[in-house]
Amino acid sequence: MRSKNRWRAGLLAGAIVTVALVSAPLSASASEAKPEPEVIRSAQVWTSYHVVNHTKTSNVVGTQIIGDCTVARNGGTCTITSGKTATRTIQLAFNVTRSAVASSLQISSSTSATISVACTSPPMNAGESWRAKPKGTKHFYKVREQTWAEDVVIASRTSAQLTAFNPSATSIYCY
Amino acid sequence: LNRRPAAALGAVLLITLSGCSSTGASPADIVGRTFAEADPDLPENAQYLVQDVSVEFDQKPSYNADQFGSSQWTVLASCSDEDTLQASSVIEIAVAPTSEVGDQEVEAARNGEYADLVTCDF
Repeated sequence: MRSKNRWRAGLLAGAIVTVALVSAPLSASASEAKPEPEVIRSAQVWTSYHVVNHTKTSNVVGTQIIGDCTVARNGGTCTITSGKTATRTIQLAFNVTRSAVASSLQISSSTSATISVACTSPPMNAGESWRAKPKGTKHFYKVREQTWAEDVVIASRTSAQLTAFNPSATSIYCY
Repeated sequence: LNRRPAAALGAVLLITLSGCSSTGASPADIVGRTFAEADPDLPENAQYLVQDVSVEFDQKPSYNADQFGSSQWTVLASCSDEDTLQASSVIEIAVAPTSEVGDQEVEAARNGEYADLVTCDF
């Protein structure tokens, strides 16, 4: 019971510091003052994250090689067939979660996507390689973090440009 | 007295089932088979690199992904990234038209004489 009260006191003191940093210079006695009723209300400090400046480009070739076949004979061909997973990348900033950003981008938060498509090379020389890369949609966005006290934003910051790559299950690029 | 036929039946079933098991097949086990015969031993979730080596038989390559598991093609060489096919995530197979592959070529394939038709760069 005692430790619980201590935790509450610590939380209130922390909230006072947070608010004071934004609304007014912090006086020496501010962190030691007993919380007044209005200060208690300001303990309801929370943080929200928003994906902003979101744009996307489809049919982008990913960087990951998901298939690599070296032809053994002059004039031979190679067919790369399905079964491989491509990595779904989602860049994050601050403390926002992967699932929250994925939800905002309207893509799955799973780290991989199974590719179910094949491609056949033209006749090649022995030793030449036929490779496959995933195709998908590239998302560009920023994450804005806002700190709230009741209904007022008391702090806000925006990340640098971030990207996500969402592989298509039915499209690959072969070369 | 009645237990003997049951035990014998159980033994037969056990032998039959173990004979049908495909979980332990290695890449070498499918060499010399048609692609259709090899297909039951091939895991669904692996990636396949299928080399069409028709040129070995003076034929133009014509294999495409729709012919995966077709009896029109015979496996001349195979390798994978694990010892067994079921455990593998990448499987490479060299195929030639079944119509061009005779018993002699099948025997040669099983003896490993076409092993260099797969490059196994994984």
